[in-house]
Amino acid sequence: MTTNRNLRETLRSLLQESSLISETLRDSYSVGGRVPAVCAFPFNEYEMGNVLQLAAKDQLTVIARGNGNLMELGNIPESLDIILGTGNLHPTIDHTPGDLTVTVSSSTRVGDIQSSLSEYDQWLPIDPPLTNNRTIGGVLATNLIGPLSISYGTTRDLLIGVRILGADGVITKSGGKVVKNVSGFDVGKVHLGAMGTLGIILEASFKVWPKPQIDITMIAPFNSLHSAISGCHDLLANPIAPQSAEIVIDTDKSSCTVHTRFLGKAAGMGRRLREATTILKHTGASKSEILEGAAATTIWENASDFGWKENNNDIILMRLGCLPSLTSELTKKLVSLVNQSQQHMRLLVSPGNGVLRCVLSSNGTKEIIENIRSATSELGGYAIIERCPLTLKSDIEIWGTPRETLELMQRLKAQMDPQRILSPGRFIGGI
Amino acid sequence: MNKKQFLRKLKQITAPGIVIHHPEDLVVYEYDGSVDRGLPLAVVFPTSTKEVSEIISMAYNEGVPIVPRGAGTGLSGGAITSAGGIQISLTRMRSILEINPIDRIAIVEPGLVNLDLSTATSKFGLYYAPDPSSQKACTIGGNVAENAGGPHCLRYGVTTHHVMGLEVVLEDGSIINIGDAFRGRPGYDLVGAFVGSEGTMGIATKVTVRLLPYPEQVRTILAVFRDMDEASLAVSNIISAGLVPAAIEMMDALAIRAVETAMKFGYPNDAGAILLIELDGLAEEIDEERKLVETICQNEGATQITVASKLEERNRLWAGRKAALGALGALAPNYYLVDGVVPRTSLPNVLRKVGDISQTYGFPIANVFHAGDGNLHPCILFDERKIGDTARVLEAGGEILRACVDAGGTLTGEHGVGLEKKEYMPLIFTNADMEVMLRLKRAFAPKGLLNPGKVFPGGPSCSEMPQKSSIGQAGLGAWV
Repeated sequence: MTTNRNLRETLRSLLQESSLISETLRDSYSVGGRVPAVCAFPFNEYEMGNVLQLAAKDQLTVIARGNGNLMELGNIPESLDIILGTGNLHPTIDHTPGDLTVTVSSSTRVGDIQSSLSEYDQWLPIDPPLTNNRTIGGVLATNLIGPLSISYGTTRDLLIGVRILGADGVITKSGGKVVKNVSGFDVGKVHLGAMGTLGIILEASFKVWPKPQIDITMIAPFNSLHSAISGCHDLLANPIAPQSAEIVIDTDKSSCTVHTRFLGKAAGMGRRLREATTILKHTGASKSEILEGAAATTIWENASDFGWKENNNDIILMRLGCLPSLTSELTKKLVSLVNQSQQHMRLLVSPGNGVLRCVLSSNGTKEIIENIRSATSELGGYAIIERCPLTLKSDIEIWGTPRETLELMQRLKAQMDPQRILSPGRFIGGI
Repeated sequence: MNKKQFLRKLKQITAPGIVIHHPEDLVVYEYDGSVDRGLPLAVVFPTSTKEVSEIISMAYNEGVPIVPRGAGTGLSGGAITSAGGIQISLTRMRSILEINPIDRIAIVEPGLVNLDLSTATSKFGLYYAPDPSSQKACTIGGNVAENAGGPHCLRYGVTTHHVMGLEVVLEDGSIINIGDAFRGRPGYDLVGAFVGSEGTMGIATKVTVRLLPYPEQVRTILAVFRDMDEASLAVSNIISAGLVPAAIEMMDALAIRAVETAMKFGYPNDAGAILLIELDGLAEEIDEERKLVETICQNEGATQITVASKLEERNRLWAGRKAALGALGALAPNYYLVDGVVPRTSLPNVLRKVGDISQTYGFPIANVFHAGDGNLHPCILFDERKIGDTARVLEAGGEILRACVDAGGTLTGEHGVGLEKKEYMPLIFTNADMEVMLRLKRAFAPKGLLNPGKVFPGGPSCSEMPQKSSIGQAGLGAWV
């Protein structure tokens, strides 16, 4: 068995000196309470590969890290020897405006990609939690959704190619830099949301979109959550549909607010807003208000970052998903369960994709989580715990019970990472 | 088990009339949308998932290769059977099992014809977006296998963006549901891996697709140019102006002449290139976009611009484009259709290279293609009766693919690799890249009995000349 000191020495011989984080700082890189033996931030892909080759040879476990914003996500890993960060890799942005495509290295921050694209009035229409400050590699490996996903889809719908560092330390690619491509199999897709269990993303190519000329937010208060949900559904079924629609509610209050975001051309925007106002009023909104600029930006940041901004490690953040048409029913069940248990809850409802996100206070128990899970699964949905205290995490599968696909997923893991070097145990079903 | 015993058993486990195996019955199944050939041992027409599972399970135990088949319109030889293999034709499983207009999804069987789905969902104001030019014939299952595209994929994406969930029969006969009716469930994206796997990972027996609402209004614009350079520049400028039309299609002079000779659509005879641009969305938005598109086309030298908004008028503008490949029959007895992709900004250069290749080899090449996506479809026209021409045509096709790859593009945008392009895969991918793709396949089909010999170089091929698979008899009923 390699000791920490030996491992550090071995890595020192493979990497540039400043690639290794000081031993005293190891604690702050822990994942699920597991403290890594070494934290390595190589300066190039070749050295990244060296680390994985060493890991494969000595059966060491490795967890990849971008900017580290969402390391809380996932089960407690079975073990952790090396944190392998992309933070010292050179961020690159290769944007061809006329092709509407961009290729970026995984260490590039999304905010930097957006600034670069915006020089040509283009953007990558994604807004998962804490987006702008995160690396694109981290965004892809976690693949959480944001409010824009109801209109633009997720990274899945934008990704056109990847380069991956495999568990054997070998770099391979799939896809390419063109928007239509069926040459070979679409390996990139299985890495999305895979939590780095199949490989480490080094580079990604995307199709990008022209940036909308106009970005207007309309908010409307409702007395009833269920009227608000049907208001959103009516809006989204209409050709004037907004690009995002979220409902914010606090169980302590009896009211909620519908937030809608209209992106597009100046032409037609007047009619879109007029018709939206009518639809929302018709379904029970007491009024509607238009927001632009900072106030609107804050609303959408709060929606994206919901539950992730709190520095409180004791909260429970859950994401539930079901068919959009069942949103109201699922919300009813959730609110009733939470009220019964006398919990405090913050809730964000996305009727467009049937997603509910809720933050429960720290006295949330395994029992309430399991009740919420079974209520969700009765409706054919899923429930993920995105954040929770470690004590609870050690007692629960945060991804929920895997379905019949677990065996196939395990076979995939066995093909891509037979020695289970990469993030073992952190993903669904303990993969 | 010998061939006879196998066939007997196959008949035992299936309903009467479901297995055909007499050579005269099999001839049709020797081909797909090409002249590549491979005679199957038998063709089975299951009517249920259970039957598919039983057939596959039996074949698995006997080590018999299986090739799934939809409508057989594929252009890369994907439905050609390897020696000793059987074909499973999914055309009797063509029901629409559910349309859920509220959540905008439909669950269908794989043998359903693409266009029949939109026809059925249109009463809810919904349609299925991927629209391969063969959509009157090709099946949803085949579309899933090839990750099919179509003219409107420019704005709406290809098949993989519209498939939400699948019921799949795996190589050993086991039945598994992957994906769902909605996205977001945690786990590896198995649907993303399966779509476009060309029948090598399993047979989809149910497909859950998302449906889109019809746009409020549609405008189709036909712009005539003096040459392809002008038309290509117009395409670049439309994209650079921040527009993503629903479709941008191009036809060159030769294709226009073919269409005019065969069908008389009234295109000007001296036209060097035609762009067909479709805009959809809110009335106000597309009015503004239409003006912008017209200005861009005029600035690039368009000699004629026609705009249609009514369905019949729009269909008339599209008719020439849709009939183009068939119309090439008026110019030559055979064509070799190449499917390559380049970055949009490289279109003018690569099209010039295609012109050069046409000159060098002495074969006329017609271009009918998805310009907005950079997805080229050069059609090399020839007569296979002339000795040596077929080989030279294939060589010219290879040159075109190399030109696409050199420009930063790829081997195929929507027709698949199949048999046709497997030997070209190393132009793009290293052995290590392909090994990872094979690992993905092995997770689904460890024995490799499903559609063997496809996609990757080497291995068994089904005919003497695998690359021949896109050579077609020109004439009506051919699409691209």
